[in-house]
Amino acid sequence: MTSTQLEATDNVALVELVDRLLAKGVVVYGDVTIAVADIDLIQVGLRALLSSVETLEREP
Amino acid sequence: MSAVYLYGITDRPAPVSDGLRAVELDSLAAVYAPAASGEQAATEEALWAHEAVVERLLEAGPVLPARFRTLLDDPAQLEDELGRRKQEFRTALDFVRDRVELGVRAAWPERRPAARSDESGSAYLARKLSERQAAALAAGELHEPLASIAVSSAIEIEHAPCLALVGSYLVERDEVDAFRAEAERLAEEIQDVHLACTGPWPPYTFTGSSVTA
Repeated sequence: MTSTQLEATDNVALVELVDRLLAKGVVVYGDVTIAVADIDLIQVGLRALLSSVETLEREP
Repeated sequence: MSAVYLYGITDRPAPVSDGLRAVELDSLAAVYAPAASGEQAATEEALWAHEAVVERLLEAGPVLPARFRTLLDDPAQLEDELGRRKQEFRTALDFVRDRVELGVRAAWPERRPAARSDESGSAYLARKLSERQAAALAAGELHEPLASIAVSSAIEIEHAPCLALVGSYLVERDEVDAFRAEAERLAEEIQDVHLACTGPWPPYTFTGSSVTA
């Protein structure tokens, strides 16, 4: 695997992780605090998704 | 202030180790770790750390993963929740037993929406129709063969920046290799598709009462 492909794979895995941990999973209503303050990560997630699509595009 | 950080719901007895604790009630357990209350940044490192704990639970048996950063006041509050929703959790836990989640992210880079500036009513309708056809194509070509291997599935279709499918599939553990092989075969067979299959993940997408078999 080339480093570019490896990076794309890592990016996809991160996006998949973000999707699952922040938007899915059991929601327990107690005194629940989900940190939504970290906008940066969500933006990283979006960038990773776009870059992974673009990186995949460049593959033969 | 102290709090408890919930990782997931498991069978009783809970497979706890390395600083994890559990509240147990009937046949269920809620696995948690003591934590500081307040906000914690959702960094990449923190997300993978959460994932690592849930994966360890998954090695021991079925788990309903909690959403990231689920904090409760104390173990008693967790026990109340467990008691209040035990039937729901029991059903959901049995549903995911011996099953794992696989992620599929597919993109058709060539299939992009047409320019949308000054779109007329008829152009809007034409675009909607074309998006619907694209979704049907993605579902038919890619999703249906994968869904036939899976026990349950959930997909979203995106149209921009290009046609894309984001899917989660709940698969029997011993069907994981077959699912991956089918995904690879489809990636080869379907023209212009770029596809990534990730997992196995804990069943984040299949924890709720909205899940249908």
